[in-house]
Amino acid sequence: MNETPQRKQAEKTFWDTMQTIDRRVIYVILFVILTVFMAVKVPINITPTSNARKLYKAVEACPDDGVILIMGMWGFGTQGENWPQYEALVYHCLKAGKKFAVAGGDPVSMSKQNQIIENRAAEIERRTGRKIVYGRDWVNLGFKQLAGAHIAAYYTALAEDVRVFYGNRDFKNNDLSKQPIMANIRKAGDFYMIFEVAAGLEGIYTWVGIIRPKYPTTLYGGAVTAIVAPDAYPYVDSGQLVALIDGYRGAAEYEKLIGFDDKGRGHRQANAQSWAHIFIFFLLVVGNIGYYMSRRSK
Amino acid sequence: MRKYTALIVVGVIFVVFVLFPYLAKWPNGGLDYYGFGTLFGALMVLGMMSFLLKENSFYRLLEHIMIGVAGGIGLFRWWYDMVRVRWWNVLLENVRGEHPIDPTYFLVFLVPIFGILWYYTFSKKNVWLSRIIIGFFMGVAAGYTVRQELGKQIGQLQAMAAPLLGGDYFAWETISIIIMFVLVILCMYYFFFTFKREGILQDRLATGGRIAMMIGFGALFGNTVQGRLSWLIDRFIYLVDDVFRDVIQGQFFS
Repeated sequence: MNETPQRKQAEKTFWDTMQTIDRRVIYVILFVILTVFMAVKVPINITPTSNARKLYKAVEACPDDGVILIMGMWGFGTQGENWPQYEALVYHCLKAGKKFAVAGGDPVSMSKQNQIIENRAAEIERRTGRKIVYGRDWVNLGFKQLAGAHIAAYYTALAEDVRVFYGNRDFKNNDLSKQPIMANIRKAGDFYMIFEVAAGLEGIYTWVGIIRPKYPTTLYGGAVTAIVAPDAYPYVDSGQLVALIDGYRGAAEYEKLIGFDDKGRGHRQANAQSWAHIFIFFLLVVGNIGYYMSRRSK
Repeated sequence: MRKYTALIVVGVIFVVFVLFPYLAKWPNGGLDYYGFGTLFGALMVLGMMSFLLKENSFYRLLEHIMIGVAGGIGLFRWWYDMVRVRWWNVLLENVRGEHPIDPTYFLVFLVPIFGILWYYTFSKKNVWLSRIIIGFFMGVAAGYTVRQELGKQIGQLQAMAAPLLGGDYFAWETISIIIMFVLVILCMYYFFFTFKREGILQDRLATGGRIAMMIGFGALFGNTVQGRLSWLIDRFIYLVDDVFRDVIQGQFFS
């Protein structure tokens, strides 16, 4: 007997339908959930995990003459996760009066990263009355195309002589050697900590695999997108990385520790995202039950 | 789909060059440079999201605009922050005699020679020249990879051995290392096809490896969903904060 499409359609059970919900329906429901829960705040408790606490302690322990190098290796494509991470770390450094240098690896987002720091510095100045001076408290080393297969070669050169690598010029074309914050900084070993906020793991692998064995006294850490984070966890467990901030969730945990949860983008995302996760979990359960039930009926 | 392309192009040109300038003359002060850029950004975001419903010409157009803009900015930044600083400025300083000439600097003039070799890929007669530079870069990458892997894995081995050698066999750290070690062996066993698996034990071992991998892939998948949602919510924040609050509410109805 020939089965026509109409006949097949007619034989479709409820459980078959549950497995083949039109993706556009799912998108619309997701859209509604995100819109509603961005407007309606349902209090959720974010408990900082050991990773966020480790980073917090490491930054707090930075000595007065220590400098933290923050590599902003992210672009607009992954800013949903990397922006909250970057902003939270920068905010912590500015708030705690820890000196830091930033460098970028994405041509498009470099100006955005600089803007984030300037906005937060201005806010802290307004609130505390403490003057944050560019060149003394922080410096932007600028952009270099640090991506792809040659990232290891670039990082090795950076680690050997930061000033030469950046042509002795900062983002604003100032002489790097005349910036007070760079007075004692020439190579990777002169930094207290090197922390990379990145979309992927190429850079972090280079710090861990090539630079760290040569300069082991410096701390190394990373904040990455959730997709690649599972691959990097073993390096935290082994102590090769001091901490790993995992996606928006890691950022939200860190924001809570530094008292940035009222303004942080991580917390802003957490509410809507939690409900979206519940929805996706529901779809997974429904799909699996549908699969089980339809198989049993056949 | 192609028949709509011209219509969509005309529509985008209308929005950008007619509607936005009109909005700039809005009584409440209208659209400034930031507002113009933000509304154009919103148009891009919604256009890109239209792909979720169906592949369409509008999405294709915006995709090309985005790649073009990113390429243009990238090119400018490569020149402005890299080539200009490391090559052009230093060349000018050397020519002007602003500091003692560094002979090693002139090695940079070898760079274009190596660069041109890449383009011999397009030559049928001299394609071998491109293989020199490809081989050189593969060698460099392989060298760095070996060095990197050694640095990474030696640290891992040290960290694995330390708790075991320490003798604290009931600490959570030691137990987790043993679990990891067993799971690695099981996963490797699953992919070991040299001999035929016979017997229930061999089957169970392979199943154990498969379950371990499924748990790992599950964690990766969960994190992937989380990451993708974060990126989507970021666009929502942009639409709510920048577009509606700052531009539409702030510039038109303030």
